[in-house]
This record gives sequence, structure tokens and C-alpha cells, in this order.
Amino acid sequence: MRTEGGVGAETRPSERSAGGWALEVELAGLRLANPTVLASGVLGTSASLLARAASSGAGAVTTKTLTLHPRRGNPNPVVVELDTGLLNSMGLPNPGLEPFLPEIRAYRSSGLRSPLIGSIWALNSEEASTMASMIQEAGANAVELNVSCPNASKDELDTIGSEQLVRELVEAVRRSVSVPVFVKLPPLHWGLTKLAGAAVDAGADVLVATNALRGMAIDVRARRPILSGITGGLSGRALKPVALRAVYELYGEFGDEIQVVGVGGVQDWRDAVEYLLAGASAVEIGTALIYRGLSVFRRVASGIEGYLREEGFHSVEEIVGAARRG
Amino acid sequence: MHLTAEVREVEKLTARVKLYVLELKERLGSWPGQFVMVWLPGSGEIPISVARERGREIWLVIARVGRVTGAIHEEVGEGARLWIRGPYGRGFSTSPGRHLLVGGGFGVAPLLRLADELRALDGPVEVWAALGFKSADDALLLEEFKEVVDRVTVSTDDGTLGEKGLVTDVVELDWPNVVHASGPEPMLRALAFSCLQRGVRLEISLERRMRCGLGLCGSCEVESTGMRVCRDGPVFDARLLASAEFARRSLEVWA
Repeated sequence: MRTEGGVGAETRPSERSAGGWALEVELAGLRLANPTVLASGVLGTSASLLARAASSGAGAVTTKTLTLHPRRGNPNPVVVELDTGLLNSMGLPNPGLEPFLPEIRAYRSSGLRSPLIGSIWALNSEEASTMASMIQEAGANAVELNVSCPNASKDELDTIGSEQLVRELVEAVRRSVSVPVFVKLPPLHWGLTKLAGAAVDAGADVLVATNALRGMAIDVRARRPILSGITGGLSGRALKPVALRAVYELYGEFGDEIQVVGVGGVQDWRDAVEYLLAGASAVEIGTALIYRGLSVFRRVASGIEGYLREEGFHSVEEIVGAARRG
Repeated sequence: MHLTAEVREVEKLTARVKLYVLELKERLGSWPGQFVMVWLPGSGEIPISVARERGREIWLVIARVGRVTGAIHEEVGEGARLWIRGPYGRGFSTSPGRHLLVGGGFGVAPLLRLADELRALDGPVEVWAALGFKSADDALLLEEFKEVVDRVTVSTDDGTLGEKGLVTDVVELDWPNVVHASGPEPMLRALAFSCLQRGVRLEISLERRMRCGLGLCGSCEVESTGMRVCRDGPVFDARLLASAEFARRSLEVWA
């Protein structure tokens, strides 16, 4: 039986340890007590779950991606557990932006200091603009524009992948809010820097790399795809080398202009440190909650601290992108 | 990935409830109160608690409550297959002592798994079961409970079997060390109120709409508690929910 702490049962993570090794990081002006962030799509469905992640040690938390109108998502089965990770085809289920705003307000008034990143999905600049304003108004400390959900419909995916649309959406969000704008990118083999470049040109503050890979699984006895949505997003261990490469490339291309956040397969401090060395200023954690539970945030953070101490560094910033500098 | 299970036996327990006895290729290894996700390809996937586990055989009590359970009732007979993944979740505690199992309707199923486990414990164990149903026609698994527990009390809302009244009204709470309950939520709330008032330890098994079953998607959160039925439950210590929405609603029941 797995045991996890109850709501509010845990203490705050220490922002600076006795030895002076600082885990605190700055992300586009937001202060995170440590560089772990709850990834979008995981436990971000209510104020109480966001608060639970924050009180378990997440340096920042991201809401489930919201759309302007409610979406039911796909029927079950929506997940397949693989040796190498997790396939999911939730299909962006959410109550719609407006009904979710009280959750954001409730989280922000909870007294927890981990910033809240509001994730949104929009297909035109008008929607993106409206949503970003509303979510900022409710108290989100940053807006994350998801332009890479692998479980959108085919039409949506065809549209969303274009540089032109990404540029328009980011511009619209940038114009509508004063809080930092994050853009969550897909794990493209080719064209990633072009897409990211469009986001940077349009005023993004942070690139989040990456969303899940599209994949599928077939049950050999049932002789059919397991996911009701046929395909889904592959996250977890299998995604890590792919997203790590994306972070390394994006940091190399845009590291002077903006910050990068790494996401994909972070299970322990070593994974997190790889991302930091590749150029990430923070790492998001999602799928690992299946295997490691909510304590994963605290464990990864203290592991990073141990690494800094062992290697003679005094802050997380010192190692960001160090793998490029050699 | 899912495990393929052969359906060895299907027994109609009541008009809307069937027992499915499944055989797996290897032992499932469930703890009392845990559940499995059951997939019927082409229809969907639903959480069902394990009612009994013996060797490679598991019992699932499936009530017809929606589209997927309806399809299982209609399409899945003896010799057919079902796909399962799990077991998932945190179950009931088991330790020697005096245990009262309180069940309502087809919610009695996981309590049978618990009764089996308690019966197999070393040390002094006394187990009573108080099982409530709407009517005599809805009663199920009574013989199975009688075989493994020391005493079974049956009640029905209409008095057609056993005592007349709600199980929460006929149950005696001054006797057990711990009460384990599973059934409709009004029953659980009423029981939570009585047990918390008397300082009796109570474990309740909750249900919510479930999707991933892995603790990620947040679909099965017990309202405003941050507690996920699939991962933090399905069995909860009633005290854990005492300060939350769940308890506010249980007070409303009594207001």
C-alpha cells in the first residue's frame, strides 16, 4: 500500500538550506522555491488538487488545459500503462474556462506561494485573447498557451501546428496580459526551432518543451487499439531523450532571449539535472506521480540540492545550460 | 497493458446485478477494497471492486448502471473474455479484533473480499456483517457472507427480509473496534455521522466517476478535498473527510 501525505499535512519546502545552497529559481520574473513544476494535465483540475501539489513541494503548479467552452473528452479507456511510459487520450476534458475561474481564485487565496500557471487551448486569436485576460484576472501568475495537445482532433492538430497560427495566438495573448506568457511546444523532429521562433518573435517569455509524443497501443487479444481515441500522447520515460534534445536545441537557439522549461519523463533528480544542464530553468513533472506519488517534488528538489552541493555549485542558475558550455 | 481474463461463470444475483467469476493467467494479488479497471473492447472501461480472490480466480459483482455495464450484462457470457488492469487504490485495514462490516445494496461486494481476508488472519478476530437492501429481491451474496463471518444481520427498507428499516438504523456501533462500510453515499454519510460522534473508527469505500485510475487525471476527486478515489482511496478513514465538503453534506443529511 502506498502512503501519501494528506492535504496540508506536509511542511513547506525550505527555500534555502542551512548550507546556503539555493534551490530558488526565477522564471520570467516568478519566484519558485525550487525548480519543480506540476505539469499541465496532471492533478490540475481543482484548487484543492493544485494546493495539494504545491504543499507537496511543487515550486509552481499548472492547471489542466482549459478551453473556452466545456469539453467532455474521450470515453474510457483513456490511458495505457507501458513499460516505457504512459499513453493517454483524455481529450482535453474540462468544464470550460469560466466555471474553472473560482478554482484559480481559491488556489490563489490559499496562501500557498507556488505560482499558478493557467494553461489554455485556443484555435483563434480572439479566443486566446479572451481566455488569457480572464485567467489573469482570476489570479493566474502566468499563462501557458498549449499549442501541442496530442489529443486534439485531426483538424485541430492540422491547424495548431502552423507557425502562422502560433504567432497569432502568442501575439494575442501577449497583448492581453501583463503576466508572463509560456508556450508549450510539441516534440517535433523537424521544424521545432521555427515554431519556437514564431513564439519568441511574438513575445513569449518561456518555452515549455515538450508536450507528449503521439503514439498508440493495440491489444493483441482484442485485436484493436486500446485507447478510445485510437491515438494518444506518450509521456514518461520514453519521452525524456526526445524532450531533452528539444530543450538543448531551444536553449542553444533562444537561450539568450528567453527561458526554457523542460518536461518529459522526469522521475528523479538525475533526470531533472539533465534538463537543467541542457538549458532548462525549471522542470515539469507529471507522469512520475504514478510511480513516485506526490513526494516526487520534494525528492527531486532535495536531489538537485545534493547534486549542487556535491559538485560545488551554489545555485540552480549556475548549471542551467552548462552542458552547452562544456 | 490489460490482462486478459476468461469468464468462467456468470450468475444472476438480482434483476440488475450479476456475478462474474474470472480466471486470470496469474494471480491478481489484490488487497481487500482495491478495484480493477474492466475493459470491454468496443464498449468502454469501468472501475469494479474485487469481491473475492482465490488463486487465479477473481469475483466481480457488476450492477447494470450504465452503458458499459449494460453491454457487459448483454454481451459477456461464460467462455467470453474481459480485459482488466490493476489492482489499484488503497483498501481496508486488516488487523485482529472486532470488525463490523456495513454494506448497502451491491456495495456489499468489496466487504466479502475483506471478510475472506479477516477470516484468514492469525489472532483473535470477530467479524459481523450488517447488510441492507431495498427489498428481499435485491439481497445478494448472503450465503457467501454467512460462510465466512460470525454473524450476519440483514435489513430491508420494506421489511420483506430481515429487519425492517435502514441498515444504519439497526446497526450496533458500541461493539466493534473498527467499522468498514461500502454502499450508497447517504448510507455512508449517516454512518460517518454516527461513528464520528461516538469516536468509533470508520473506513468507507467511495465511488466517483473514474478515468485514468492512476491518480493523474483528477476526475475522481472527492469534492474539494484534494483526495482521489482511485489513488488515495477508494477506502478512506472517515476522519480524513470530516473537515471537508463530504462532511458538510453528511451534516445536511441530519439537519
